[in-house]
Amino acid sequence: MIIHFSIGDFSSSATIAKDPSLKAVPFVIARGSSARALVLSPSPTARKEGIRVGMRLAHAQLILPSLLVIEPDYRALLRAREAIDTVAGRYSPSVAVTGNGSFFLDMRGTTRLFGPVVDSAARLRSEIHSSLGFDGSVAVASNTLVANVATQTIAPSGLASIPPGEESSFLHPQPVTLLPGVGAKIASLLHSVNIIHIGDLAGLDEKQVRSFLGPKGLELHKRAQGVMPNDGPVPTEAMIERRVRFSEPLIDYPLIKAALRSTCEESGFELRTRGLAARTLSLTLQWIDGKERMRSMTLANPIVLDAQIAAHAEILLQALLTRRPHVLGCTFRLSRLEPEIQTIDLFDAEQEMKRQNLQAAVDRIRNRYGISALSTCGAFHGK
Amino acid sequence: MAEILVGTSGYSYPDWVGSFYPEGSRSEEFLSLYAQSFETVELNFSSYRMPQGAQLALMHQEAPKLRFSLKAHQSLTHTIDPSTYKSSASTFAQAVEPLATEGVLLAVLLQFPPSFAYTVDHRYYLDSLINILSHLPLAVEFRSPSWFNKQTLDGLKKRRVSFVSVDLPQIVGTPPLLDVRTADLGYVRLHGRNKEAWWGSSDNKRYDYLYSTGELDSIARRITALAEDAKRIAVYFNNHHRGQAVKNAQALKTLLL
Repeated sequence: MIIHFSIGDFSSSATIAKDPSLKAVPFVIARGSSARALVLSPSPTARKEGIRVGMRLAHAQLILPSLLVIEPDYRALLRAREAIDTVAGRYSPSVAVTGNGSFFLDMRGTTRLFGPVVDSAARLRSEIHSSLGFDGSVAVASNTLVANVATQTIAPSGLASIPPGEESSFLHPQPVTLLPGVGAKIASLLHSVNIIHIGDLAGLDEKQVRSFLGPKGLELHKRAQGVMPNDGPVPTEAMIERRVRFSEPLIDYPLIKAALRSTCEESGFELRTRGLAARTLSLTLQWIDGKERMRSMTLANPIVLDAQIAAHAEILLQALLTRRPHVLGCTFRLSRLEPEIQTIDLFDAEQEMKRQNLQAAVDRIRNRYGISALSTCGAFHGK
Repeated sequence: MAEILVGTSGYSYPDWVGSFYPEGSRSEEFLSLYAQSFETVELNFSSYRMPQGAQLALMHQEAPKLRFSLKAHQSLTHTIDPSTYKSSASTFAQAVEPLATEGVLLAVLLQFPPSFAYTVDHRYYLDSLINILSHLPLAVEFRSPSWFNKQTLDGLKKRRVSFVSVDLPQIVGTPPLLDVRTADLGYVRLHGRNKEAWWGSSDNKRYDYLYSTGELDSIARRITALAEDAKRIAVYFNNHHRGQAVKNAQALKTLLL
């Protein structure tokens, strides 16, 4: 079973969590006060007055002249996310953050420990509210798709649990706009032919879907039937993860690369200590404007050495660094882990042996004196 | 913080004598004895026979501090006749008037069966019934999963009618569990989680369930969350078999203190 937790308007919720006296005050999070400034996140009271994300700030102030404007505090946002993640981690070893204030927990195998999943969901919601001040909508379902639609159904707050076997009966009467993948354009297209509910879309046959929405519509059709292809951002396997928040936002590539190198070395050390090798690497960057992006790669052969890990991580970094704002931090993950089997390249046996021996020597020192006792120059650039 | 009232669904069960009511208690003493332990009760008899104002006024006299929720008569929920339901609704509204006047009517519960699905006709009917009874505090419990959608919740919010949160086994054929407040009053019904006996058993077996301490702890948290920004929350245990509802209600009251 899956738990989905969704905190709407996360930035304004984080502001209220920090200062509860703002709960009844209409305010928005927005950068600057120029005519072009946009509303990034309205508070619940501002939302009641019709103020929405993406609205021009000047327009919002016309609707509500007393509207308070608060600058975004991305550091506080990141801290809040980490705090929520810590609480969620007590309920499941597999927690996947899918956006600001939205995360999934894979609860398979937890019933014996924690009791029925719906009870865990209620406790999780209560703990996040009492210790961090956030409320939101929480849903339990057999897959991420149904859990996601359920949290949208009860938003902005509440608890839902969809019994196994009742996924379709729950999904079908919901508005088709709640289906992940249906944006304003597709919704308008669907409404034009009187497809209003998810069940209307599910009831079409594949030929009708293909002719109306094209081949990509088939995936939406499957979702309407409660099937989530490749279900889960929820990791189902062991992984090694490092989250780094830079002491100050960085923009220089060499500095970011150095921080990543250091992270790779820590991850690699843990990997080898556990006698494992990794096939998949993923890197997520968090920018100062609240955006984040993730890139990953899966290799034909598992890797284990720091140099190999760092080289691949740098490729991911280059692919991600296409935006201009400063970078606040990153998350580096090694997954698809498997037991480490030492293999020597027949055509480069001597060099390969040297690299492995060097790594083993470095690890011995780190084992004895700690991970920071020895680092490559690459991890120290600019320090 | 909202006022949270905990009670049971029904109070007149002979099998509670000995475990809750003192040995030798007579049925006409049950209500006043019940009111010594609880602040609210949900009356079920009103579903089976149309209540009368004098009868409800008498019950109020027997337990002046007790606050009542009443199940609407079955002619309004289960055996709906399009030609007579309006007069039935008026009769029912008149009957509960003494409780409303005394300020001890918490809600009228419109509990619909699984056959009452989210169809156009049923939506028109519900809208009409809510209009007729709009001067009373209303709560709606659906058993057909088709009603558990965003349009229903938005519609109830607009009409300030409470959506009833139910707790029952999470198995095929049961509706989803949704804790969502659509009005100032939150209304929670706890039916037990007897998975094995839920389908194809008598009421006694179906509701033969005692919530564990862990389950009650999570229910208390759900109620506390529902109480956020609410005026009042009414909670009723329906696992009445062998007095288990009373044990659970008393334990929940302690947890909510």
